[in-house]
Amino acid sequence: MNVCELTLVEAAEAIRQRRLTSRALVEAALERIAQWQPAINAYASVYADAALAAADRADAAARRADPLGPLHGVPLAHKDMFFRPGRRSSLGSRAAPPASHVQSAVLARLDAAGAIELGALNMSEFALGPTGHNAFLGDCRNPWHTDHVACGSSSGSGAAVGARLAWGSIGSDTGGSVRLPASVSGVLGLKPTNGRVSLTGMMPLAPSVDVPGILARSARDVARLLRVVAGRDPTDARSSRRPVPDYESALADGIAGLRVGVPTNYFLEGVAPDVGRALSESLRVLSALGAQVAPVTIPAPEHLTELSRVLVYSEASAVHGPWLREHAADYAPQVRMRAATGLAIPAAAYHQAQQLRPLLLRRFVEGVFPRCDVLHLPTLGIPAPTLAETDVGSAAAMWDKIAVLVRCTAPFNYLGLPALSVPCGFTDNGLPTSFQLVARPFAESTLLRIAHAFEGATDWTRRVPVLREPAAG
Amino acid sequence: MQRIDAEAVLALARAQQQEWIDAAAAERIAVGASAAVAAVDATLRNLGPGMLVSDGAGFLEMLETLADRSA
Repeated sequence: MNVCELTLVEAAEAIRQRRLTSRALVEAALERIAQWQPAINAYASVYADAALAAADRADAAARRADPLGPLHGVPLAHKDMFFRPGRRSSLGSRAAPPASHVQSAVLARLDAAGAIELGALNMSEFALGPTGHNAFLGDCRNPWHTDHVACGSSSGSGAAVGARLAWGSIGSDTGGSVRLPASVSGVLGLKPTNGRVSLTGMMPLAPSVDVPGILARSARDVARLLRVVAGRDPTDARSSRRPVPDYESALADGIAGLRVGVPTNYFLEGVAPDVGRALSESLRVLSALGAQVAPVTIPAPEHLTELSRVLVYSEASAVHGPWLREHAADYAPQVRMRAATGLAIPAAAYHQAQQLRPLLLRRFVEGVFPRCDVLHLPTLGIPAPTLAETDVGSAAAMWDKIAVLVRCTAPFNYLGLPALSVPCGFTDNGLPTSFQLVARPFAESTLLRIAHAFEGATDWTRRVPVLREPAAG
Repeated sequence: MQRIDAEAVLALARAQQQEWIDAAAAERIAVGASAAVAAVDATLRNLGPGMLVSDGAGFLEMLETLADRSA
């Protein structure tokens, strides 16, 4: 058995029962990273010595029968934008500022749960970009076919978890940046409800929209990670005081009688035939598992993505403005242009987009969720494109390319709703595709129950990519 | 409809000392900003005539209220 192919929870339980050591996991991961990294460039940094030392401490604690946390000894790796005091995060950019003095709340919670940090992962520069191109760190490539994008901005997170180079990863999702990379790499990607997970110590892109998210190989893995990182953080006034449920226990509840709504407008327009077939088959499976599938008309979805952009670009310009003034030449042209777009958005328009947000959220929730428990829609309505197809830099096509990629994800960043991308097959080009589930605020348990039931009836999340070299040139 | 053209972007860039923004960059920024602002205008029009009046709820508060209401 290749230990790299164990799920996070399987690995954690094997360590707990002393059937496996943390060192064995770290060594296997480091060996696999050495094999895959030249092909997919998922890692920005590998902390080999520190991870091995941490593994030895974890194994010693297990031998002493110390109390062990829910992630004890399990190697993870995260998007390179979660801060530790004194450690400089690359943020995917030549223009990254010096090391922060702030400790990431998410990393602190993972540490307390016993997780080991294998390294930091590639990402789109300053998390501004849905394709995974990166002129500074080098492009991250899709583990299923290295000519294709890993998507972004959590590109390394999707590629690393998909290629079995880490047992799970924390990314960030401001317009689809967890769900898109998860979808094209064949793993699950959760964007929690805004406020569910602390933002402290995470690089800000657009703080009112940003949310840390989870990429992992099974619904149970996502459930375990979410339980660890979720909850009120006194250092983040934007974090919710709502209690954190036991997401893993809820997985056993099944989905009989749950109502799955399929949008009749907007989200299925322009969906490629092969993506559409995989979506339809996933609905058939969910129906066979006892879910009730019904059409649902979505109230006013067409402007949500652009409303999200008003917030993202305005706040990104506020975050980057002074730094851009001094370091513009160190940013990639597309990134600095997107980071500066907010400079041209009137303050009144930004305020209106913020004032409209709770109003449109209420209309959406009251219009959709009396009729279904979750929405089922694409994560990405097209097959994963190639790096060459999406390498438009700052050309005029930039806005259109981005719009196609985030069409089904960005609306839920504006609305703040929880959304989960679940692998459901492969497109004609051999790349993974997914469906996306969206639920009421703080109903992550419902999303995970459905994903867990679907996994039990299919094998999509158990499929593992095979290493191939990138095409020459 | 609010109009944001490249000339306005260049003027704003100069005012904000973003000297790197040239005519080509201003053109691209104008396209992105115009589309975003147009969505705000369209949404406000769909709400009907009158002033935009918020009910005072913060966004997190609204998320929590809606979660409780449907629980």
